[in-house]
Amino acid sequence: MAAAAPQLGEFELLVLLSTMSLGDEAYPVSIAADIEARTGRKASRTAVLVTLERLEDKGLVTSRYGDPTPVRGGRPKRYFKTRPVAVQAVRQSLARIKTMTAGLESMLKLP
Amino acid sequence: MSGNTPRLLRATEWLLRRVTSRAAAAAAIGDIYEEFHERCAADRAPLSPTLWVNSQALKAVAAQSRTATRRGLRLLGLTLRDAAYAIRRGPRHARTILLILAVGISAATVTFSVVDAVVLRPLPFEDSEQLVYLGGQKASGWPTPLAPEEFWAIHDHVPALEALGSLRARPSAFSIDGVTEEAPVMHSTAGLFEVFRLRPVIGRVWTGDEERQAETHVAVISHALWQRQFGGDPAALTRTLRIDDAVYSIIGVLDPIADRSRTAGWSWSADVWVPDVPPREGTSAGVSRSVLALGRLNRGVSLERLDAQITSALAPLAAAKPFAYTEWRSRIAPWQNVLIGQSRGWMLLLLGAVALVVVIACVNAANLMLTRSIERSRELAVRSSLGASRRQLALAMLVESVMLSATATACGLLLALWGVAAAKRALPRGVFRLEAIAVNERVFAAAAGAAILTGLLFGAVPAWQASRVSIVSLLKASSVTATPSRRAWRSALLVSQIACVAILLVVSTLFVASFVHVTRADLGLERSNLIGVSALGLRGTLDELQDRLARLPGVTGVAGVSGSSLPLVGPAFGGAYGSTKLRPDGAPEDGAIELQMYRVTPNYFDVTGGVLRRGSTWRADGPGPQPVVIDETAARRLFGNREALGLHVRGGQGAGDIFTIVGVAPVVRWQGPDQAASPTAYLPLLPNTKAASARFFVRTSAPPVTLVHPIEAALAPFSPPGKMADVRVVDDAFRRLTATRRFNAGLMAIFALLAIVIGAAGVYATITSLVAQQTHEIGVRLALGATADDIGRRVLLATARHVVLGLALGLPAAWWISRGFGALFFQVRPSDLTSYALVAAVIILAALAAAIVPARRASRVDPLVSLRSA
Repeated sequence: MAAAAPQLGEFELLVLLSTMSLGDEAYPVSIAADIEARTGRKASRTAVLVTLERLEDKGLVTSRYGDPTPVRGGRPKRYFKTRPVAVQAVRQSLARIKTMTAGLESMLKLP
Repeated sequence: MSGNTPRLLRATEWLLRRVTSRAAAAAAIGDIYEEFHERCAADRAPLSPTLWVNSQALKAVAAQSRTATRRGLRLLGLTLRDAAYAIRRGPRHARTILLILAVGISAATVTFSVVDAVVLRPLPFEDSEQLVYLGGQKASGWPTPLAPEEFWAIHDHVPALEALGSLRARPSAFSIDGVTEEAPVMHSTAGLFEVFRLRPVIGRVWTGDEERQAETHVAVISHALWQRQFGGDPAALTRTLRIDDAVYSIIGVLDPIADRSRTAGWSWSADVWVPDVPPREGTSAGVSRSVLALGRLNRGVSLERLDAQITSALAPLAAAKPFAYTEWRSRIAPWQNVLIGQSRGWMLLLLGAVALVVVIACVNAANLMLTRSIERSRELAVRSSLGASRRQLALAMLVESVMLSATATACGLLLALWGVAAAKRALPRGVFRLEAIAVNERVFAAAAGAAILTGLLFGAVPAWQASRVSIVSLLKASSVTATPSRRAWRSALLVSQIACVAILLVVSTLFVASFVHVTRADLGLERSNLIGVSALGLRGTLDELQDRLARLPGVTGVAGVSGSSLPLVGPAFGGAYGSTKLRPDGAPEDGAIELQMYRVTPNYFDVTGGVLRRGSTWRADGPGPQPVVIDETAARRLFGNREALGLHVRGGQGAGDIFTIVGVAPVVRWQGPDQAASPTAYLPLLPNTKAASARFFVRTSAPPVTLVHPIEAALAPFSPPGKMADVRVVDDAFRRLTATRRFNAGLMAIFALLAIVIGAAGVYATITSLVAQQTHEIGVRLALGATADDIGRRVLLATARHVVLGLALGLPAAWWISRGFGALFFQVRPSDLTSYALVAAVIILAALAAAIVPARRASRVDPLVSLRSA
């Protein structure tokens, strides 16, 4: 049996999902913009970065540095990429939510 | 969109780099710039771009700090867990280190508690370093107070002093509303409140103007008395109190700081303060010095400047009465130093000695940790191969050391609670602030500091060594061996440990030898089987009491004394001292010297056992000039090398009386064996001397302590109601006078014993581990033909090499350090060869004894087993 993946908070779940969907272009600014664009929830870049580093400590994401660009004042981007265990963690989180919302569809007006 | 990139402050960027990596900081700044440009593109440009960029960076700093703290705490937790695991894996080492450090730290804690309370803690008054004692000193070194006219001359003409006050505290009975209480009463001038900066919480203190107008029937009471007697009622200011027959109006209540000074050990604290103004005019005949004075220096004024101003202020008095100033000079000193007295040097010496014990314990612990780290080489290699950096390995060793030292400190503090109580019991009475000695927050802070410091000290070398370990060599090593560098370190630590032990042992030996000399010193009288009786206030004549005492069973002789307190007994238990001036007959008046004066019965020297060097005592009522016996110091100062016997001297109370020297007595060290003796004259008792001013020496054939009660009972019919004669065994007085030296010598001996035991344990542990790690080499040697004796001899020789090196370093250092304490030694030179030889012999014997077991173990190594296991 595989080891249990780390549990995720709500914001961690959002950040991980965004990182997965952005693929090779996932870095704090793009992730914050993606979350805001898709959920309407305001996500600060700093909060995203701190969350990504926490996820990195948990072993769910890895990071690498890109090339410097002029628009960034000659600074590189720090790209984040999910590890396979992150997929498992996301799946478990979503399953928990699904389990907890079972029977409440009409109350919550879920499809 | 703004085409300009706002500037990020260098300090902000620096901060961001401090809380994260350089690359991560660069990426985070890049994100800020990118977001800025996006906002500009979306027409949401901030009003102040620079402010926005920097505030965003500071937000990142705050967020990263929280992350870094969380990571740090997690890392610390892991490191602590690893350290605890490592300690559990080597319980034998841990126990030994804990024991050694706990003993060292408890000794240090007890010593620090004593030194802190007695010497280091400031007096409980505002800017207490400005308080100075003002008095005088005779040529013999005997301190004196000031004369009233000297007090006022200094008061009026010394601008270096912010305030000057006189004080005289003595227990008195005072009554309030008919309730009588016995407590210290301070008789002082108004200036003393300014000296101590004591302010009233209600009412006022009296003033100099009131003193000048002789309005002196006022009293100020302490806060404690106000609470106790009046329940803190301000109406206390309308009440009066009575001391003897005088009635005083209470005009003020002092700040509680005056009470705190008592709990801090200042024995002169009082419950009642009343005016006591020294007369402005002195006596016409001579100078009577009885005013104890304290001053507060103006800020920034040196003691030298104060001394010069005092000399100048006293110059007119010295010109008017030169005879009173020929052998007298003013003496000023920081008040705290006066209160601490001789204890200061002793205490600081003890602190240094115990610091050396802790250093020895630390070096020993470092050696044990190093040995342990060699045994843990494989574990370190595995951790390193799993990703632990060298810094992390070193940190783990340091944390392990600090954990051990913290645990040892906790144990040491528990031991210290007992030790402090024992030290308080052992310390001589009268040591300044004795009651304030306790394990308090200062001591606790010092112990905690010691825990961290000792942990870092003894963990530093093993940690440094761990950080230099080559992983490849560790993994390649087939057995646990020490690298040459580690062997060198262990040797260096062992040598330095032996050197420290040598230093401590030499200094301790010199002090113990001094104490032995003190106990055997020629005091000028035979102190065993001798009792001193102070019969002050008794009725009858001296002859009557002398007869009564002589009839007691077990008494072999009784000598009567007046004029001064008894030698040894007086300085130990308090007394008064008379002096006289004598000069050779025919010499000018300025050739007179001041002598301590006793009036004694003719059998005084027989009873005290002070065998006269020349001549004899007087016969009662002999014709001609009065006879006098002087001591050898007086004879030398009056007549140089000439024979004094039969010569005449002039002086005495009438300054013109003539005396014939009939005997020369030995010098009596009346203040104790290690104190200066002043020239002394023994005169016949005046006719019909009253018992009220008499003292006696009683020589006994029975143990003196058995005669204390019979003597008290014999004198009881002559005593005033409720008072007993003061009967003291002279040996007790001697022990009291030498108590500080005995305490210090005892403590130094304990430190020396600790040092030698810890040192021997260090030798044993190091040599045992060396042997264990050389088992393979020993096996090879045995296989190649070496005998068991050869192997044992090699181990002992290795030990001897370390010992010789340690002694070569330690003994010269001990000599250099001992020179600084020359003044505290008694009849022992810092270069006393016997002491050094004794210390060298003890260390060599202890080290060889500690090395015998490992040497025997080495000689019994089975070559087959050792080679097979390699």
